[in-house]
Amino acid sequence: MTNPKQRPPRWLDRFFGVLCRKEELEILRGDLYELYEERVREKGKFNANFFYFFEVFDLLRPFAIKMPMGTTQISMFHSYFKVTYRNIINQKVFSFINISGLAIGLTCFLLIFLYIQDELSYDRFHTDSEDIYRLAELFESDGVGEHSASVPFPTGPVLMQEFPAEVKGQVRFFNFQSPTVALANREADKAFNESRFFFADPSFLEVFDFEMVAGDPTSALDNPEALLITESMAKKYFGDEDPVGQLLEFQGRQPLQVTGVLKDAPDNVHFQFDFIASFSSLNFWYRGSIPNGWYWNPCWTYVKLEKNVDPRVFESKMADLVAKYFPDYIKEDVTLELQPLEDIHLHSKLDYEITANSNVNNIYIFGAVALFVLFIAAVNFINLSTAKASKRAKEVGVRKSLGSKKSQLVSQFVFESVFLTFISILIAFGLVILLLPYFNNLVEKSIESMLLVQPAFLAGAIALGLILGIVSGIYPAFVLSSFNTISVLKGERVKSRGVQFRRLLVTAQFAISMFLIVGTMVAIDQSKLLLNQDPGFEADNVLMVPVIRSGIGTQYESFRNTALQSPFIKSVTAVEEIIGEKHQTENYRFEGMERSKPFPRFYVRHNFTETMKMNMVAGRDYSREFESDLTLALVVNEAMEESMGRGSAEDAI
Amino acid sequence: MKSTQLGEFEELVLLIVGALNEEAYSISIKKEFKTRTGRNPSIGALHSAFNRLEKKGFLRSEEGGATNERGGRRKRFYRITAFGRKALDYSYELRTTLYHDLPKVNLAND
Repeated sequence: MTNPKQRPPRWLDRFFGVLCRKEELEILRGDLYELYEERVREKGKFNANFFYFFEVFDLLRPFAIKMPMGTTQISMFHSYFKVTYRNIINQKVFSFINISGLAIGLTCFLLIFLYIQDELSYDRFHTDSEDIYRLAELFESDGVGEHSASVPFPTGPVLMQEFPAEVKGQVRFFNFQSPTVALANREADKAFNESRFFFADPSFLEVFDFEMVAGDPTSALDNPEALLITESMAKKYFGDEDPVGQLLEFQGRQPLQVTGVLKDAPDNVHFQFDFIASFSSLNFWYRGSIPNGWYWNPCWTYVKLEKNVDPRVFESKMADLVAKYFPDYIKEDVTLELQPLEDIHLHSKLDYEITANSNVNNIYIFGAVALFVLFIAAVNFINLSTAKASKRAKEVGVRKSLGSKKSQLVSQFVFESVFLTFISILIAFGLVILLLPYFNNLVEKSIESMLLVQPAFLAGAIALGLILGIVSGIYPAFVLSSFNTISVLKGERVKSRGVQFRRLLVTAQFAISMFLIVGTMVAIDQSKLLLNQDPGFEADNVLMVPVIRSGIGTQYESFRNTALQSPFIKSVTAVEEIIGEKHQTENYRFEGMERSKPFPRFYVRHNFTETMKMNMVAGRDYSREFESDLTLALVVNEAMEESMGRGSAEDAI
Repeated sequence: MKSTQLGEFEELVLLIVGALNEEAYSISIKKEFKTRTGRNPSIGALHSAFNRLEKKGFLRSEEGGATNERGGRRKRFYRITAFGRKALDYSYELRTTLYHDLPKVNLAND
């Protein structure tokens, strides 16, 4: 008897049994066993199992595989396939238009679908992403003020201290509100301006799930002067050296030591970072005391709440915190809000966002366009297929007189159109894979083509193909198979039915196309308008030099004088933020007002209106001739003047 | 004689079945094939050749009795048919004739 130890793997044996034809099974299994036993004797069990695996698959050839259907059905499929093939070849141009039309439509649909899917995936990969919120500060009086994505320094820690039962963790991000900061690897003589640099609390890796490649995630940000960098930054500054323990010089003055390397943040995170420095490093810049006031609100603060906390209830509790801590003169104007992390990318449009977010309306618009395109492509396909089918009345007549059953005719047509849709789907998938790199470039994303092979996606594609194929095949199938055989064969003209329906489809298709084209033209016009619209200043020939946290700020006058000596420089000014990008808000109390209110403000230096070619309605720009201008003068715009309720521009001065 | 066309592999299999006479079944054919030609055909390739040859009528098969080998499973023995023999004869004849028509000197070296 066979030694049980020498049995080939059970599952393979069973697998073969399921797929192999009954008549062949005993003989083939016998062969497999005989070869297996011999191999076990000669080369050992492992070797035998290995070969057994391949032999099983090798044996599953056409003659040995069990057919799921009877032979009649198989030969019917053969015939369907043949007829389909002949039809495609016979009318090459028509088939080309039909298949490529559907394929192109599907490609658009798939690309937009991938785009939307990516947009919806933002910030969802953290384990507790649904419990993470960003604190936002609404600071407004009579509709003027700011709705800030960042809050004052102490907010996060105080929140944790006041509500230990609700708040699981908090992390603050701070970057001096500076567009770029300077970093240098002195040893390798590499220095760059970096825009994605943040100081963050040590809880950064507890609140968020960013992966570390090197270093200890629990303690990496515990000490001052500690720095986490991403893999690509490690490469940029240190090449192939081990970055951990190395020093990077921050703003030319503070040495930061790399304590860990982070994996590059995925693209679907609403804020992108390259460097995370420990929050305590800030002591260096603020002479040992990190700002503690409740007015300046530069810290993007994220809190993780306990599972059972209702964010609405918690928001009302935060109102008490505002009343307790915020300074009296702004207390009444401030509301602290919670923004769900997952909603930030699509729904948040606050002031001082870390990076500009997307807009959920885009998703709706793109989604609608995708559906429209798919609809047009499908209607087009159905129309062409049905139009073509009516020319095949004669073929149907011959088939019927040869004894085709109605069901066979129907399956013939359905098979054909399903076949065509699947070819289109295959082409569309190919096109998507081909176009994805360019598409990614266009929309600034990095969607991977591997997303296409998710089971849900494939199932969707197959379902789509089947539905489309059946819908466009079944109509001609029933119409044609109901023709009177004799009159068709006699060559009498068959009244084509369903013309009304097809006309309706064509009209709808045409209307949607027009709608999309007009919509696109309007959108192009709008963006042209945005680009060419007069913003009130002229940016032509104006050069911006970012000098934040560099020496130029304090040495402005000598910088200006040197610059003006150049024949190429007409005037020099300095402003606190990039003009047109954002502005700060500050409390002012004008004559006649009981208490101060927040107003948008923009600090500038002399020659601002001259440099930017702005028009003064009345009065004058800051002047060097008036010493008091340095600290006391104010230029207001027309809207401001209105809100002050003065009569005319001249009166206001 | 279109239907008697034989592929090289098929012809070898057919010849080996004939040579093994009463003992021709898959494994013995596989082994004989290896000793005679040095090639080691896979069991799947052999079975599919048997299948084709049987369809063409060059082989016929019958199942033997069960033994203790092979987990108690039967073997399928193959015999060459008269038609198969004829196909081999024809192929042999064709090759011999063609071979004799080769010029005696190897012209490729000139």
